[in-house]
Amino acid sequence: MINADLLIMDHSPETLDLASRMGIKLVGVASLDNADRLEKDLVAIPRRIEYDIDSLKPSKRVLIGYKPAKREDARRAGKINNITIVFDHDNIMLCDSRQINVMIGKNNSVEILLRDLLDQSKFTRYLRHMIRCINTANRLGVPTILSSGAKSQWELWHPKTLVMIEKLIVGRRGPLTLSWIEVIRKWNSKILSRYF
Amino acid sequence: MELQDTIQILLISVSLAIALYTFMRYREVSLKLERIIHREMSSRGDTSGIQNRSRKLLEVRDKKRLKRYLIFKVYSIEEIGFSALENSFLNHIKRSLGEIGMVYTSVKLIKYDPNTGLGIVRIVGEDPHLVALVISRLRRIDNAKAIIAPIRITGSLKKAYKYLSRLSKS
Repeated sequence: MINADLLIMDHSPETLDLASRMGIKLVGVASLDNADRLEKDLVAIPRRIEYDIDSLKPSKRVLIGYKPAKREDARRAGKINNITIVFDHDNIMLCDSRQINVMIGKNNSVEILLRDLLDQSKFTRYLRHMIRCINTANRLGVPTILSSGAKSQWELWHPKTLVMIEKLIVGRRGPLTLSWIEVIRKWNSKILSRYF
Repeated sequence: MELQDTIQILLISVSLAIALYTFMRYREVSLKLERIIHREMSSRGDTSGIQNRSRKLLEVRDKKRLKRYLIFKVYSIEEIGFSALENSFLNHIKRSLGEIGMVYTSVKLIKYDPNTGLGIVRIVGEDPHLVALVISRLRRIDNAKAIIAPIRITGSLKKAYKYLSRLSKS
């Protein structure tokens, strides 16, 4: 099985080395220009996080993630193809059933960052909203991916931990840990055929 | 043999036959009654006898608290000892799940090898995945930064040791 972490902010050699040792084969790195094989068995794809809906333009070269701050922006972004809508502790409450309903049938996906789960003060609220968001997206068939959003090597999440979270929330294997394949295939299918 | 004895034997055998017949008849009637009651109960949506039995078995099983064994791996630059890891585990679980949660999960560090970073934790309770998530959130052990990865959950300690030895070799 190929494990992936589609968003890490830090691309220092230590972080990439630890990711490789953990068995991650594909990482999405912010501030990278092209997809490249960084180590023997670690492929990196370029990511960019946008905060402004007006400058949001999908690209075949960079996988765009949009982090909405307002509800109406999130709804607008839900109709744009080939992007991921990024949710973390600040905007997880925007991921409700109406938002997911907008995203049905479009080539976009929900991306949830796990970095805020490490913060004890945010943990309870974030996990509660996360469970609601994941269950709704899973029920309505919108792909959901879990990314670490790590700013240092110690904020990475092991792929097996993602499996545990998946079993805890969804109760079965696949909807969270394998949906990155569908996201990458819809964004740029050449990446999969070139490196895997 | 006299006539009186013959009559006596005949009477005994007849009474035995009547008793046997009555018993068989009663059994047949009781079986029929049981079938009718069962049909009525299942048409009303009540649980059948088999389901009742399995429910009783499950109740017995529920009363016995299930043990699960979590195999984990610690990624850290610094070397971490057994007692430091055990203290960090217990403090972190107490902070996340509370004292009651700690009692119910009864987390206990069974084995930890600092060289390979592999270890086994015993978890008691119905949801070992929740405890695995709580443990994997731990990022600091005795002032050393670390990542704890839950590798596998097994149902017996024997299987856990088997899997651990396989992982250590690889």
